[in-house]
Amino acid sequence: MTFIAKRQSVEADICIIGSGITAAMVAAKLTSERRAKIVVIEAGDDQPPINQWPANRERWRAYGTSPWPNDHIDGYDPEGIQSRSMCVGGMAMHWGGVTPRFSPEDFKTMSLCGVGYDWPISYEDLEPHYYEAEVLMGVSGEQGPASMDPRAKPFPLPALPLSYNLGLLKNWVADAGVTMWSQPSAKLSRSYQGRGACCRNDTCTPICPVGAKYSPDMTWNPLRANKRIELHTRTIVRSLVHDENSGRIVAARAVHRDRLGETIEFRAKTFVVAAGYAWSAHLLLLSRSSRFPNGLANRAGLVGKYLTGHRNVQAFIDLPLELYPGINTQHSLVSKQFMRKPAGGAYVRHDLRVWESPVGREPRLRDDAGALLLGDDMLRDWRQRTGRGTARVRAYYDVIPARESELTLDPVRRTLWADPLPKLSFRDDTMSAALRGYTEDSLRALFDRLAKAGDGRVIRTAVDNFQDHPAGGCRMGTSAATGVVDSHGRTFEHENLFVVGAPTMVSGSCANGTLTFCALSLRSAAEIGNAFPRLTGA
Amino acid sequence: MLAAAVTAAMRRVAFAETPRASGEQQGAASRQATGLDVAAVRPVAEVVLPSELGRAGVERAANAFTAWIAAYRAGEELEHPYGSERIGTTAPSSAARWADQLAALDRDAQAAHRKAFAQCTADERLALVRSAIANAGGAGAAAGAPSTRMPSPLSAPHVAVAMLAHFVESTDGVNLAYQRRIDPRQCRPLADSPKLPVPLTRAGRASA
Repeated sequence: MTFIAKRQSVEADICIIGSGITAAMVAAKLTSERRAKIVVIEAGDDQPPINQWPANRERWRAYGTSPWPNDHIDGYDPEGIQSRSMCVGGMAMHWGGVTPRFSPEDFKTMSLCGVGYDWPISYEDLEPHYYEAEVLMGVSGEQGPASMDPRAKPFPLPALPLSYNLGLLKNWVADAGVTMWSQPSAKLSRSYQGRGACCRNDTCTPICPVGAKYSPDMTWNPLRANKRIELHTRTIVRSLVHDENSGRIVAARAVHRDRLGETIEFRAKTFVVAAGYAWSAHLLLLSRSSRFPNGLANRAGLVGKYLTGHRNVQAFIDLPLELYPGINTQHSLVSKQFMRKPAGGAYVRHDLRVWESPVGREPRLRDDAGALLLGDDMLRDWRQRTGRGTARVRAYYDVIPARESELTLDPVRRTLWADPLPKLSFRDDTMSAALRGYTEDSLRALFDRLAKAGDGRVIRTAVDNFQDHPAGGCRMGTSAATGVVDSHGRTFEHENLFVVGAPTMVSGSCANGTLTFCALSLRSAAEIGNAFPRLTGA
Repeated sequence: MLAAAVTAAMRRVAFAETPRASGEQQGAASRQATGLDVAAVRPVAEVVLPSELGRAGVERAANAFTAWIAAYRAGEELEHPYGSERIGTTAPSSAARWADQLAALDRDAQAAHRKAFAQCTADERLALVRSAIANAGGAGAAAGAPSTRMPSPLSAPHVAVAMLAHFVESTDGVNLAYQRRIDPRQCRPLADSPKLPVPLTRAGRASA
C-alpha cells in the first residue's frame, strides 16, 4: 500500500460504474453492436472462478461458510441496506436465478387502478428487451396463459420440468381455481452457449456449482479475455466531475483500495452508473459542486427518493399428499393470475409461487412429550410425518413507495475516504400503508382457501417486513420534475450521464425484479449505443 | 470444456465428502486433525443412528462425521444471504469439547459397568448416552419444555446429538426416512425430476 499522492488518467469512450448484472447487460450489448472503448469500474474484488465453485459449495453446505469470499467491503455497511455485495458480478453472484417479467398492469397502475404511478414506458416498450435479456442469460421458461403472460417470442430454452412434487401441487392449486406453471429461470434446461444444463444440485442460492444458473461473470470473463472491455477492480468512484459550462460529465474520480494516495480519473464520452439501488443514488449525491450543490441530476431533489420494492406473505400448508422434499427444492410454480386487480374491491395485486417444503417433515430430537428420540425411535417418528406433504406458498404484493422512501447521506457515518455513507429508509405511501392490512388479510384468506381445496391446513403464516428486490432512488419520469432520468435512463440534467437498471424503477411490482432491471438496462444500452459507430455486421 | 472441468471438480469434492478409504485410515486421519477418533465415535453412532443403516451404513456415517469436523475451520466468513447485512464468522471448533465428551462416556462406562464404553452392550451404551445428553444442557436438556427440533450439528450440545444431526442432514438420512432415493442436493439428471423417486431396497440402495 502506498501513500504517495499521484494522479492517473484512463481514457475511454464509455465508462460503466459497477459490474453487477445490469452493467453486464449494458456491456454485452454495446460490445456486440458498437465500436467503442469501454472501461468498467468495480469497487469490489473478483470472485472465485467456476472450477472452485463445487468446493466452495461443499463448504457452504457443510459449515454455512460464504461461497463468495470477499464479496463485500469492510466499512461499507450503511444503515438500512438490505444485502451487502460489492464484487465483480454484484448481488447476482448469489441470486436465485428467478426471472419473471412484470405484468403489463405494473406500468400503468395509476391509469388502470388510480393507485401508485404510471411509468413513462409500457410493457410493450420493454417487451423486446425482456426477450434480449432472456437470451443473454439463457432463460428456461413455460409460456403461461397469454392473457396473463403476454410474449412476442417463445422462451429461448424449454421450461425446467416440473418435479414430481410440483406436478402434484399444480393439480392441487388447480382444484382451487388457480392456474400455475413452471417458474421461468435463468437456469439451463439444456446446455447453452458453452454452459451445461441444470442437474438439480439445488443450491442455486447461494451458488450453482456447475454454472447452469447465469451469473454476470459469465458475461465479464469472455469480454475481458477478448479485451473487449477493461475492468478495474478494487476501485471506488468517489464522485463524477462535470464540465462547468455544459454540465456534461467529464470524469469519474476514483481511488484504488490498495493505493490510498492515488486518484484515478476515468475520462469518457459517456458515463453509465450501474451501481444498483443504493450506490447509484449515493454517487450522484456525493458529486456535489458549486453549480450542483445537491449533487448531480438532482435539481428537483428526487435523487435518492422513491426507494421501492415489495413485501411478501408466505404460508406453509400441510396437505394429504405424499411429497418427497429435495427433488428440486428451489424450483417453483408461478402464477400471474393475481397481478391484475380484481373487479370491485380494494387494490390488491400479487404474484403467487408454490414450492415443495420439508417444513413439518423434519427429523426431531424430542417428541411432543419431550422424550429424547434416538436411533430407531427417531426414524420411526420422522417417518410418521413423511406420509403427508407441505407446500410453501408465497405472494409478493405491491408496495407503492412514498417520496420519503429514501436514500440520504448519513450525517455521521463515513467511508475510509471521509465520504458520507448512504442511509436508507423504506416507506409506503399513504394509500399503500392504508391498504397493507387489507392486502395481508386477503392473502391469508387465499392461503386458507388453497388449504381447504386440498383438505389441508395452514401450519403457519409469516409476513416479511422488509422490501425485497429493492430498487428506485433515480426513478424514471417524463421530465426533471417527475424523475431523475428519462425512460432510457439518461439523466435530464446531464446529457452524457445515464443511470441504468434497478435505480430507475418507478415501482417494484409484485414479482422478482432482476429480469426487469436487465431489460431496462438493455433498453438504455440501445440508446447509449446510438452515439457510437455500429460494428460491421452488427 | 467448461462442463468437463466442473464435473471433474465435483468428482473431487464428492470423493472428499464421501471417503472411500478404510475406517482405520479415516480414523487415523481424524485423530491427527482434530483429536476426534472415529474408533471412539463408532460405538456412539451404533446406538444413536437407526439400526436399518446396518454396520456399513453406520461406519459410513461415523466416518463422514469425523471427516466433517476434521475439515472445520474457525473464523471463516459465513454466508450473508439476501436481506441480511451482517457478516459473521464460524465459531471455534467443537472437536475438543466433543472429544472430552467421548472420554467422559468411557469414564462413565467404567464407573457403571467396569468396562470401556465400546465394550458395553448396546442397551448399556444407549443409557449412558441418554444420561450424558441430559446432562449436557442446551437443546438436549430435559429441563423446562425443551425444543423438539433437531439442532444443527455445529450447535449440538453433545457429540451424540451432533452425530445424529449430521446424519439426518445427509443424503443417506433423507433417503432412509422417505425410503426412496431422493438424493437431495446431489447432481442428478434434470429429466428424472418429474419421476417418483425409486424405492430403496436396502439402506441407501435403490431398487433396480
